[in-house]
Amino acid sequence: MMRRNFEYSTVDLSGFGTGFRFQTVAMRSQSDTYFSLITSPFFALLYMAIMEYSGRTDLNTHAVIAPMLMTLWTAALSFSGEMISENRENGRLELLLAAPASFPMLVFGRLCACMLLSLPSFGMSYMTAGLVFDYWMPIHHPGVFVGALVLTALATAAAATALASAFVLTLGARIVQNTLSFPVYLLGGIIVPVSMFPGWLEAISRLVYLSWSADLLRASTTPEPVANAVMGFSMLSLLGLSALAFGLLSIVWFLRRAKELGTLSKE
Amino acid sequence: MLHPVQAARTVTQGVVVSVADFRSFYTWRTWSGAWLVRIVCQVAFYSLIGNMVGDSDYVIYVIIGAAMMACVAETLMTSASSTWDRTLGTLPLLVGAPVEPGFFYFGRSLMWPLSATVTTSVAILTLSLFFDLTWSPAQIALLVLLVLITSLSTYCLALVVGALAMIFPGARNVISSLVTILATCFCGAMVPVEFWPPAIQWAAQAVPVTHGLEAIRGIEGGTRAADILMSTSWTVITGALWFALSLFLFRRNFSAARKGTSLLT
Repeated sequence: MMRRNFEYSTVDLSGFGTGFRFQTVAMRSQSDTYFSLITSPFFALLYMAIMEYSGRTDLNTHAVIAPMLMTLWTAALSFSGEMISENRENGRLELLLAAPASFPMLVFGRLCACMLLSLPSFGMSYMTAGLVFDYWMPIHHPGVFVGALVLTALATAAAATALASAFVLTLGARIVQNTLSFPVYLLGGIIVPVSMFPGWLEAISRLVYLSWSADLLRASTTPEPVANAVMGFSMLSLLGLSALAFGLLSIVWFLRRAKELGTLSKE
Repeated sequence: MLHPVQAARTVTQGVVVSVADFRSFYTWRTWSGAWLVRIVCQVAFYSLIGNMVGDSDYVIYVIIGAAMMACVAETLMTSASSTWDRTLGTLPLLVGAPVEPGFFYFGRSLMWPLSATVTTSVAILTLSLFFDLTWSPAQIALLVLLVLITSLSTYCLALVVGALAMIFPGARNVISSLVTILATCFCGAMVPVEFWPPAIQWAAQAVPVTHGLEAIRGIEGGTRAADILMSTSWTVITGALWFALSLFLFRRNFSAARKGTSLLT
């Protein structure tokens, strides 16, 4: 029975679309949406100002791309915090589990929808750099750019799914939400490429999917052919899939434990 | 109503709540192992940017600027904690109490600027080790004192933000992160205030951290004591003005609540 339940919950994709559609509507009135987006043009302004002031306008692409990655990660932290616990507190968890759709995929679908915020974030960052500093970032390899953006969004949603399960299982969401921002921006090399880090730090950073995303996105803006594109996409996919597997399985584990203990409706 | 003894008693009552909240928010382990690490990473993040784009002087400039902005961010958690009474349902009791609300709220979130003083000082000193920035014991003492003064002055600005967040509790984090990023952009943290157009330069003078940063940079760079004292004075003066505004806004919030607005629901 347990085994059937496990397979049903993880493989069934039916919850994904429902979660995605639900979240695209729900997030319009959620403060987390605006919290994730509001800083994007200002971070672009700040980073562009740093490049301009220090005479390193050759690094402008770093300044335009970083705010979008920051929005993605902020959204992951913000939305995952109460993604499961709010259903539990409002008494919806039992109903969702009784529905003929996979709950873990519903969560993943909702978090994927949150990643749509990367588009207005990039738009604001791009426009800020263009309008204030007259820097209109070229994209010489649009295929690589779009591919890297889509995979980064999926990997972030996967990481957020893992966070959502971690929050409901053991950790205090608020502290983790407040804590995990800058350490991940740092290790993700979102503005300073991790190849510039000392060897030991680069090795750790390569385990953070954002380091591959940032490299691919930046490389897509230069006229030269994108070096190590296959490696970058492979690592991004591998790390994203690992996070997704961990997230889905730990949600299944949480649900199983909550059913056994009769604590589905308890905080 | 503004009797000093009563005001001090009101602040003290606020501090009791503040300490209790802080203890429920953090344990020693989560504060030092998670929050402090996060702040150090935040400063490291910016110092690596400084290292990528500029010389060693610019890295030092960025370390101090980034650390002070972490201080602003932590102090602005006041925006959230000023709404907690509304969320918890204890606001009606406060509204009914015969106290000056601004003084209560001055005590209510005092844990943030005090915690920020420690985290910011530790972040500056830790990153200094990695980038050959040395401080004499006297400089360290002055540094911590100036960080404290800047935190408390910024806290007065944060109380104004908190009074607004009390009216719009759903926007508490949006407002505080907006104020933080505006300060980071325009108050001389990463690029000098003079980089921006004159109107922005003037607006930045109203923000305590603009002057606090100047004073701390003066300590590091060996500026004349009179100049440091002048910047410190401006930090305190701007902080005091923001505090006066916060007293007015909290009083107005409570007055509106007593008249039966939605603040108590």
